[in-house]
Formats: sequence, structure tokens, C-alpha cells
Amino acid sequence: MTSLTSDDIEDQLDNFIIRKTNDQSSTYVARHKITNNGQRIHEHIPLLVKDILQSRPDADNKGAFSLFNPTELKYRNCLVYGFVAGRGVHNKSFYNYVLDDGTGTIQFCIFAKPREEKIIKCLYSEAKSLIGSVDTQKYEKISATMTRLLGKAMEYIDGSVISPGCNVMLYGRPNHFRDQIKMDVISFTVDNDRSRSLEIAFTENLIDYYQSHST
Amino acid sequence: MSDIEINDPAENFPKYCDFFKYLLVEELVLEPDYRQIHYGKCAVIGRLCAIPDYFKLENVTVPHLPSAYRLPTGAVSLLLLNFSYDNSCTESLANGAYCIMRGEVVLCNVQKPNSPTLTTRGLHEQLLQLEDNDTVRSTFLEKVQKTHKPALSVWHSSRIDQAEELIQRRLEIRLLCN
Repeated sequence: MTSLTSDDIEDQLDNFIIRKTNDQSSTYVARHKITNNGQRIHEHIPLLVKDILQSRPDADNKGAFSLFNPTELKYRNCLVYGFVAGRGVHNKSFYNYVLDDGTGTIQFCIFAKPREEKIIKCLYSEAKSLIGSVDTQKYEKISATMTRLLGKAMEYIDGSVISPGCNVMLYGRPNHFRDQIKMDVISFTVDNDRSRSLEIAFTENLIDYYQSHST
Repeated sequence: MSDIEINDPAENFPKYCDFFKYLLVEELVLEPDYRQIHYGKCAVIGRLCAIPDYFKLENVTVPHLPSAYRLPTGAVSLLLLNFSYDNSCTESLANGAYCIMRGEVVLCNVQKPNSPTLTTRGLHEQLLQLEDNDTVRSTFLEKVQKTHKPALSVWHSSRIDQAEELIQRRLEIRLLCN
């Protein structure tokens, strides 16, 4: 009997792999609330900037917005992913930037959180000071882990870490002011690594969502 | 209200695209009619190709396109302007790296280096100034098509992984917008 080459084995293996069909894959379901008259108001819905710009405040539900693409859709909070294309005028209580997701541009603002910043900074220096204490060896590892964690936590709080050229994912709500739609950010993630996993995952969910909505 | 319609020729001019629209290298390079080329900002995903004098961005295969339309990676390439390793925004951008370039589309005169660049709108304006004569216009267009090549004036660049998958998703998003 001749020995099998690796190619042959791969051919054999191929027959045993059960492929998941497309329609079995789960589609993204955004969280939503249903109002008294049976309307659905979405809470975590992935949207394109173009659609956010076209949405209007919903007359029936305070704080909700509605848009058409391709059917009517109501939402309170949404998710967007994009490229920071510019910087607006910052001030003491918030940071302003311009987001571009390839379908449009929208201004977004991140509120400064001085209280949270202060707490994290205090904890950070506390963790740092562990090294200088009596049992330096004992606390070295813990201190390193803590400082790393708290440093990372700061990135999610501090809006000043964003600069033009970053990629960000935002969770927030539109703000209709003087006929202009801006976005108030509730939380954000900066995604500047080479890996595009987050961007791909976001667009996949968005496509799934739009497709499930249009049928 | 008067019923006279004012035909402003400027209305037919292409509008400046104010956001970074995702385009394929192929769409810019293979467009035979320069009047149809994208006008404004865009984002292009490709493979960086360094040639001693200049940089180019090569196309990346789009895996799910029908095979008749699918080009192998590196089959066509787009000229990059205002780009060098020094002003690239990410570290480790090297020859053969997959990246995403954002900037503005221009028509660059490849026969006379450093001459002013042209845009799609500029081309429309120049055609309008010519006499209302189709032969004059077509000779002008042919001349431009010989001397000029579409190019990307780069404002921002970043190195990425999973280029093929990202292009695929971006094309699907464009379908949602139509």
C-alpha cells in the first residue's frame, strides 16, 4: 500500500466536513422596546451615517427618531463605525469630532467625564505605588496588571485620545439641533490596530440587519 | 412665477463628494471615459507597490465577484501622489503591504511631471468652454486621455489586514446605499 500524501489526506478530510449553510447562520437582532401601541423602538441598532442624517425626531415617542430605509424604522440609540475625518471645536465639557463611514459625515461629541477620570487616575497611581512598598516582589505582577488594566480603561473614558485618522466605533443617540443632526456619544471604542476584525464584524451585522429589515 | 427654465450648465457638473466613498482601484483605473471618474474624496483599499520614482496602489482580488469580473491581485494599479513613507500615518508601511488610502481623485499629467493636476469637474468645465462642436470636444478628450492618468492624492494612509474581506463588505454596503 502506498502512503498517502498530505494532499490526499486533505481530499479525504474534505468529505467529512459538514459545512454550515448560509441560512443557518444567526442574524443580528437589535435590542428593542415595544410601546403601548405596538411600535418597535430599537436600542442598539447598527446604522449608516447617511441614514442617521436623514432621520427625524419621532412625533409620537419623545427621544426617539425615525428613518426610512427601506421601511420605517424607529430607534433611540444606535451604533456606528467610521473614520475620524476631522476635529471640531473642543470645550471644557465635551470633545467634538467629525465621523466619516464612507456614506456620509456626521459631527459627534463626547462628553468629558472628569469624575471617572479622577477615580481611574487615583487608582492608577495607587497601583504604581505598590512597587515601592515593603514587599516589592510580591506585588510586582499585580501592580503591572493593574496599571495595564487601568491604562486601558482610561482609553474608554477619555475623549481626548481620539485624533483625526483614528477608526472608532460609537454608541450614542442623534441630537437634532437647529436643523442639524449631530451625535451624542454614550460610549466609544478606538480601533487603530491593523486587524480589521471589529470593522468587518460591525459591517456584517449591519448588512444582516438591513437585509432582514428589508424583507 | 415665470415658466422660463434657466438651464445652468453648472447643474450638470459632477458634485464634489464630501465623504470618503469606498472605491475599487479598478473603478478608477479602468474607466475609459474620464468624464465619469469619481469627483471628490474617496477611500481605496489596495496593495502598496513602491517603484524607484513613485508609489502605486495595486488592486486586491474581490473574492465573491463573478470570475469574469475578478482580477488577480496586482493586475492594475493606481498612481499615488503626495505619498511617501515619511508622511504615511502608520508605522511599518512597506512595499507589498495591504493598506487603505484616503484622499482625493485627480487626473495627473504623466508626460509633464509637476504640471497642475486636473479634476473631473475641471474637465467638464474645459469641455463647456470649447465650441459646441463634437469633433473638437472628442479630440480634446482624446488628448487628455493620452497625457493624463487617474491618480489619488493621498491625505491619510493606514496599514490593514484582511483586505479582501473588508473590500467585500464595503461593496455590500454600497449596495445598501443605492
